[in-house]
Amino acid sequence: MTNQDRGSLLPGLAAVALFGVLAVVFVRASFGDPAGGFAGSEGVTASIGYAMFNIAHPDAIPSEGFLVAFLLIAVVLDAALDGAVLLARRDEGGEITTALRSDAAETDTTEERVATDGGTVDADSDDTQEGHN
Amino acid sequence: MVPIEYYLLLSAAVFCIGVFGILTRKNALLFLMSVELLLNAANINLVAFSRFHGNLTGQTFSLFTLALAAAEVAIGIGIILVLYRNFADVDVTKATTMRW
Repeated sequence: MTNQDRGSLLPGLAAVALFGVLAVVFVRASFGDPAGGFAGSEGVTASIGYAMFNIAHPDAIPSEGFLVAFLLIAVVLDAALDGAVLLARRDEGGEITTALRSDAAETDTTEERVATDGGTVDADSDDTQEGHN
Repeated sequence: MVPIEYYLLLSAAVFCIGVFGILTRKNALLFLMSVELLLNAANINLVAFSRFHGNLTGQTFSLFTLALAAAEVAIGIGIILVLYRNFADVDVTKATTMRW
């Protein structure tokens, strides 16, 4: 048994024990009678569309309205996109290098270049690396 | 119709695999994948109970959970990219200088 095997033994046992507890709870719990399918003559996909935009339709499957949640998620996704772009780009000799631009290294004439977001290192240092093509 | 307990057991199994991955893995990408397993276990529960109660709220909510997971992955991969730039590795235990 290697050290890595021994290191994952305790978390493995914890995960199995957690599954055991959850399984006992789920099997012994009473959930009542199922509804027996969806009411309404509209399809599930169409009804999800109605629910997402708070549209009242007589044949739709019953659901709550999710228009506010839809708008909030749109803002969150937009913020995540901006955050991902912010994290992914970096400075190359004073110029912002993005994923769509790969020629920054060829025009880089400075003695030092930015290797991290927090500072600069020497170009001939062992810690530097080429992160672009 | 498949009993609800089967879905719950599947969900519990996926959740426990995710917990195991979070507790044991050091690679940040595998870490992120384990978190996705946790989120998908919750999704299984939402969809299963949506079917059980004949109400679409759970299924619609699971779509929002998927969108939230996508946002989380976008930020997570950005953080992993910065981690790799700073430490030349994606091992989460190597990033000791970022601790408080």
